[in-house]
Amino acid sequence: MWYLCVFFHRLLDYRKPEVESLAELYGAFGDSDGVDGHGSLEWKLPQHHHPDSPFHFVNLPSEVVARQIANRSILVKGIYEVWGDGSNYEELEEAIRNYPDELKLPYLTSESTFKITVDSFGKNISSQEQSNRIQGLSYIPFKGRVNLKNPDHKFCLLETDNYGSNNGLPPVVQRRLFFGREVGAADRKLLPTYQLKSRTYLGPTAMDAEVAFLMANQALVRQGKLVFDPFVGTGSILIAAAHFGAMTMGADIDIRVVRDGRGPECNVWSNFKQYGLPPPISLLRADNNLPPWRPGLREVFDAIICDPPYGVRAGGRKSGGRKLLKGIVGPYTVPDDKRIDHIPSTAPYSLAECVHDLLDLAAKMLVVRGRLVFFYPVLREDESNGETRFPKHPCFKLIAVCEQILSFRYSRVLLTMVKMGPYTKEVEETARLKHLEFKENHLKWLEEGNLHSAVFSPADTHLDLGEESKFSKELKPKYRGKYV
Amino acid sequence: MRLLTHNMLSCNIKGVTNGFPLRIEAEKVVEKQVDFNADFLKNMFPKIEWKALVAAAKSMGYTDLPDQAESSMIDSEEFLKKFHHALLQLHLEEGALICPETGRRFPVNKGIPNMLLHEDEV
Repeated sequence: MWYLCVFFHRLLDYRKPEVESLAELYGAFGDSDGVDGHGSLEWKLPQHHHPDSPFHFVNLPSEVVARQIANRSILVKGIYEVWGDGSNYEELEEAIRNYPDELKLPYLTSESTFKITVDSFGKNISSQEQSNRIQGLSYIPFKGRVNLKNPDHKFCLLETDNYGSNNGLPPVVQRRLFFGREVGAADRKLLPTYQLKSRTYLGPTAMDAEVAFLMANQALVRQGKLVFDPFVGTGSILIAAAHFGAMTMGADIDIRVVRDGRGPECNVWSNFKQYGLPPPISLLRADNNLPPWRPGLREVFDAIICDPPYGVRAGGRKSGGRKLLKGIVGPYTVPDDKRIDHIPSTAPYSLAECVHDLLDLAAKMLVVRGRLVFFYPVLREDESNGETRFPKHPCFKLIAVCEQILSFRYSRVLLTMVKMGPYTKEVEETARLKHLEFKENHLKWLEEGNLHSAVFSPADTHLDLGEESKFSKELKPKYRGKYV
Repeated sequence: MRLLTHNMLSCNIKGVTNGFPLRIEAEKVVEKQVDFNADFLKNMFPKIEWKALVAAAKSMGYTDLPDQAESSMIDSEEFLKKFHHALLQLHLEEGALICPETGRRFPVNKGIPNMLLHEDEV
């Protein structure tokens, strides 16, 4: 059945993948995810609308699924059963009159309560005008009473107008009107509850609540599943997973962040306590480059969700002293009396090696069909040259790439990968050889593709690219910026 | 540190072949309540090294686990409750994990095991 899906106008790349992931979570695709590793939905654009528009028609198997998706989604403002649409009020009235009575009358009965909202995009409608619009719908035989607080049925009159590309909205060529019955809507209390500004324990790279929930939805988190974050930090991603009922586990190389926090009332545990969520069943200090898992351990996690260090604002670390890995000093033994509180030296961890280790960990430890969801940084000038290449692994299929612009120079993309096949001996051997290669060429990997300097290099070194990047900026719609 | 975690960890010092299971030196053990979820337990069961779990539970003072377990036992609510208790509710706050081959101690403080290797173990 076709429904009108109205999105919040933000994080545009994330919208459809989120709906498709939730559709899969709620059984829209049955058992058939086939060779693709995931199902996909049919989408249609309303007449005269641009792909970035907040309005999309989507084909969903039932009203129950539509409601479940809307209620759990972060970016879906509402899903509506459309009773009519048109380019003016006369067309709208005709469409609504033509909509079958047997589909309308059950929601218009005298025993039920209802409410009509007027919503608009690209323009403001004063409350007087809204009232007039609602009066204009009197040809619809509403028999029930109005209840503004908690009605049985909610209806919405949506109006978009031709305003050109401004206000952070995509261009709509002509006016379009929709009238529909609300089937489900987002829980608007979710984000204010979990927003970072009221969180007890934060770190510089704590994941924004909205994005953390999007990641959890992409990873199909639900009750009874086990979710792992190998770069747990302050636990911001696991909070979202715990909210959706999963058991969580986290690891970090920095013991102070994980064990101590900033004090007994300000640490990872207190974050979970703040929201009444069950705390992680396990937190440990571990290095993903030399993980502590027992050798035969396979397929224990249902999802791995994380934000690895990009090396821009917060660099990654791995075991092995800096000088040791550069070959300046030989391996040394810590004297026994100093061992107890010894904090092993760590060395910088390049993004390439970090992602290689993450993929290896996920290939081993995820169940088949389990999801790996993580952020990967990209330089925006690479995109305009069509050069962006994302990490690949034989066990995984990349099913979604969602860009979030961070600055003029760089973005991050949320990659969603599905594990398609088991961790074979060949995969293991390839990983082992690659690990040794990274170790032997430690210096080379640090210098190559050094994201930090590319992002923070002074503006004048980009002078010759100036014209090109202006040109490429022109190609991207003006309203696409840091938040859209 | 819960026994679910302990069941996943081993000593991976360079050259060590027999780093699992780690012996538990328990200084402070607490019991923490965790909501019972049968689906989760049934999913976890095939991945658990049972002998290691039984030994670990004994070292934490819990002896009710059967010495051997087969998959047919997960249908029993009584078994699941014991499995749940051993796997998720026994918690090592302070102590250490000892490598069976080298004797290396991995300390556990405030419930968090420190599995980081020293420079000469890499």
